[in-house]
Amino acid sequence: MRAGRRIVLVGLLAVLAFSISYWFTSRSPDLSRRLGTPTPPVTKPSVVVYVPHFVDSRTEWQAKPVPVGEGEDPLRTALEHLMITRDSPFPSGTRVLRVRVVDHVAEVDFSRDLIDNFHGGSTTEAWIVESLCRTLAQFSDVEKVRILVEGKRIETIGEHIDVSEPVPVRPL
Amino acid sequence: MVVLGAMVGRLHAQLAEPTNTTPTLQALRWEQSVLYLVTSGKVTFHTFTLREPLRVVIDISPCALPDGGIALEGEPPTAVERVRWSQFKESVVRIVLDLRENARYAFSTAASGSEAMLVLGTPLGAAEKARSPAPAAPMSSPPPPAELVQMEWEQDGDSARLRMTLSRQVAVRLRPLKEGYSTLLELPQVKPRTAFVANWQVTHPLIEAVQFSLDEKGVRSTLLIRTSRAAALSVEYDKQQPVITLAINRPRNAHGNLSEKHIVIDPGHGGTSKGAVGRGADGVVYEKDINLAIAHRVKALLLKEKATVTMTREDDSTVELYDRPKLANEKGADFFISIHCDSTPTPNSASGTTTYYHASDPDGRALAQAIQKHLAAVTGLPNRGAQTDTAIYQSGFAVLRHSKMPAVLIEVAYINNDKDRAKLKDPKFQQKVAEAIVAGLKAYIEGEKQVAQQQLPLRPAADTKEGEPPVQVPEQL
Repeated sequence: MRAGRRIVLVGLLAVLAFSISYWFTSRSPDLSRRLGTPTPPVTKPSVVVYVPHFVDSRTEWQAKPVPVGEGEDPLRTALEHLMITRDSPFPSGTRVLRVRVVDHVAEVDFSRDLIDNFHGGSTTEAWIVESLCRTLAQFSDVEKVRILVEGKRIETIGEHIDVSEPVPVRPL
Repeated sequence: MVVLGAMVGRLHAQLAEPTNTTPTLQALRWEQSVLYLVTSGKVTFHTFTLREPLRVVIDISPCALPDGGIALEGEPPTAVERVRWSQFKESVVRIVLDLRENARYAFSTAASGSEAMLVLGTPLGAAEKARSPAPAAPMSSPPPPAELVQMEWEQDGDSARLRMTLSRQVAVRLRPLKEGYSTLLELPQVKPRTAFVANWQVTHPLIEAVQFSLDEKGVRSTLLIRTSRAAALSVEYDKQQPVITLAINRPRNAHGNLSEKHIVIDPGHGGTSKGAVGRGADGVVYEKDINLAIAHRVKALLLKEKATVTMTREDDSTVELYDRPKLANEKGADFFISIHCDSTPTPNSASGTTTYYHASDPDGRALAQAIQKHLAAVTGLPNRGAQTDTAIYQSGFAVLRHSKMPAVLIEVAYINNDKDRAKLKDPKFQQKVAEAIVAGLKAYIEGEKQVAQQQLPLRPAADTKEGEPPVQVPEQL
């Protein structure tokens, strides 16, 4: 008998708990918002890479968000992603060997593939430099980029654009 | 049980919600240079930029502001002067970022359609600027377009100047069009004070037609200028008052005959620099060889015209990038013409002919228009127009930047496009291209045809009556 009462009591308590919680939540699906807690973004990509394509005869730039993992350098992550992302203008096999920022100049050291595997025209070369600049422009401490190949300075990638001096990453 | 109840309750509430409930803006938060936007449901984000003053606008629809309003979290980056938002329309929330300086931004939307982020680049030197408080201010209506108050023409034999008085200074842009010697002067956020005649009968020898238009919304004006020959168009801004002057001049070295001119022909690449590589069933072809073949044909035609010609390379030798314009500068050449073939990362993704000039150089633009006009008529490929070399890359091409004379870089066709490459390899096509280059150069110097040299005041095409005073077009608006 006692056991039966206990079961009924537990059941009633369970129904009561269910009802109270149901009443609260069903009345206010935006309870968290009303309490002043904004919904945090689920996706938190921290950097963006820029890739080009033609629309008619004009170059359009697509921004691609890239998530940055714990402990990763966002700048390096962005550049490494830029090398391999779909529609990247960089020659196949190009790798980022080293990146450092000195006096607001990002020194990006590329593998020899940047030169050896470059078989493009002025469009491809301009796209390479501009995608690099646009991608680096999101980092407030970077004002220019110096392009190196295996630690050495180069005059040009494909004989159209001068990169012997650091290139401003934002519009002049 | 509590958790189960909450889950069932929330699910029920969600299901019970009417399907047409407008999503609300839930969060607006800066994290360094990233602005995160979160809404309660799927929305469409539309971004665009406005100038004068510089603003980035984000329209979210369908979307409503929450009942209790919303607060901006985090500190905006230095580039942003302030952030404003409002219920712009019944179902559109508008967010406006007032920028201190031009800055690039990227906007991306999550697959859910309820989250987005705007990543803002920091403008050069902005970090050094004093930072003013950036309180969220109520949305004010956008500034009205500037008014075009008066237009007056001034002219002499070799030049015409259109003086435009505005209610405030605005930035304008000159853009060559693909059709002949047509150039568009774009006046964003400008409207005439009152309606006026849109077309003018123009009798200046340099000008064929001038046409004013206003877009449907009445906030963007354009002036289409068709010249009778290659002409150097430039814009001057008055620093003291809101006046812009469009100058239309006979371009540099465009006097006399082709036979009196010294032209430096630059076959791109050479030697160890192969340039772009075209690969296909037809084998491998190097850009440097095509460039040289066309350059030799141009040289032969120019010599036939008794012009003086210097080649940056006569054979398959290596020439350093800067030695090319340096040679032209040392020779005191009148023109520098660089011949190339283009290529894109993906084969067959682009086709056509482009002639580049440096930045906004009026003489280079005129030369590019003249050569492109003649090239487009013979290549049988898409006409990609005369384009500034800063359209893709901000500093432009080295050989054009360092040339002191009118200079162009011609991308004859795409070597990694099968159709283009087949033409590039054809000697007949190479000859046609060479002839078009020389014809364009000749047209730049000597003009397309003899034009009437009447010196009459510029007048509206319509509603013109005899005895009217010389017209200021438009008349006082």
